[in-house]
Amino acid sequence: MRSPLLCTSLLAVVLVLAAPGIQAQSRHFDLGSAFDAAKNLAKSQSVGAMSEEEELAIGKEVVAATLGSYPPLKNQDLQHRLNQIGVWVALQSSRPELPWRFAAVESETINAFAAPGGTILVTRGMLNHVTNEAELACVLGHEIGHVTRRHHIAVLQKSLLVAAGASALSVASKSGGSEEYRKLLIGESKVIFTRKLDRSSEREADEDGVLLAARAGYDPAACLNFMQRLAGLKADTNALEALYKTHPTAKERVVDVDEALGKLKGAAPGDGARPELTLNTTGNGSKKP
Amino acid sequence: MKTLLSLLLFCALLPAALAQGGGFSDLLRSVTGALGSKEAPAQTGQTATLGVRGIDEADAKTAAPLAGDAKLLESWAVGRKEAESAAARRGLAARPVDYK
Repeated sequence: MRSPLLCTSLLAVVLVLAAPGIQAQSRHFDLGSAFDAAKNLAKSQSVGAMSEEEELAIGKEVVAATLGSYPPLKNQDLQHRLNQIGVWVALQSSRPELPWRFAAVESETINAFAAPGGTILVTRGMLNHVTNEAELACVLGHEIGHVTRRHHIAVLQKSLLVAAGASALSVASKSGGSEEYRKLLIGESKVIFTRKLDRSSEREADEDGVLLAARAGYDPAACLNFMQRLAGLKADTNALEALYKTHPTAKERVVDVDEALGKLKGAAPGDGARPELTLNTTGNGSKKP
Repeated sequence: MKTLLSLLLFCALLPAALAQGGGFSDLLRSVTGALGSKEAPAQTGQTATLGVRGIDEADAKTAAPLAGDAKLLESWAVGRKEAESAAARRGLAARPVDYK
């Protein structure tokens, strides 16, 4: 009995003495680097103006928000293997130095996500759909392309600008509107993967998927096989609903991938490896805190 | 002052945290948030960084795996050399390819 009473008494005294300090520190609580990055992003005219540090900070917010909906599969062997393949493909990209992270997440839908800064999430449904490592390399290469070209940063920038305008925030002031930006950033991070990228961005990412797979030594024709099989599935099934809300149809993408194959220099369709892919996609991904 | 305040907040929040079944890591997170530490910016609850310096730092680091799924992603990370070795074992070699 004595200890809680002593604690409570001391707490009351110290809280009174420290109140000004706590108040001063609370400003830092709301001013994380991600929020400053979001403000700078909204102010800038080009995604190219954003530093890599800022991109990483925003990416962490996006990943945290996304993992809330898509928890990672608790299967270390699977995740380790996926990272070995993913990093190998990413090393062939224009930004090999990024801290690339790959994770298989809980969802039976066929989908994959790329967060700014280099974190790629792949659903269990997607991993069960690919038939060899070369096809997985194509999927990862597509997502890596979104990261290297900062496609989602551009989407985020548009959303923040619209939101900032709507709420009449002062984007010119570094100290003004920080709490509003924090809310905006968290809100946008949660929905960034529901935003549809424009057609040209998806075409660029498909081209990158083919190119990076070929550079990594895989048969680039695997990208076409994968897309053709996707096109053969019924589009209105639950497994594809989310994918088609944010991507062109697989039939359109078959044309894009076929054209990309025809433009390759240094590797031809059929030229390259198609290693067997043995991934155990079991694992409890439903853990919530 | 911050260390003393951390200790006192710990005393004050312990009964409530245990009653809610939140566990030790959640308690540390509560203390971190209350102090508004620079090392623990306000993020989503799942990934709040445990960053209390001083007496709780070692325990906080130990509790980190419970702090969120984002930490797991870091534990699965693979470096360049390992990725290259794994690719070589599967017969893969990088080659110069571009678009015409």
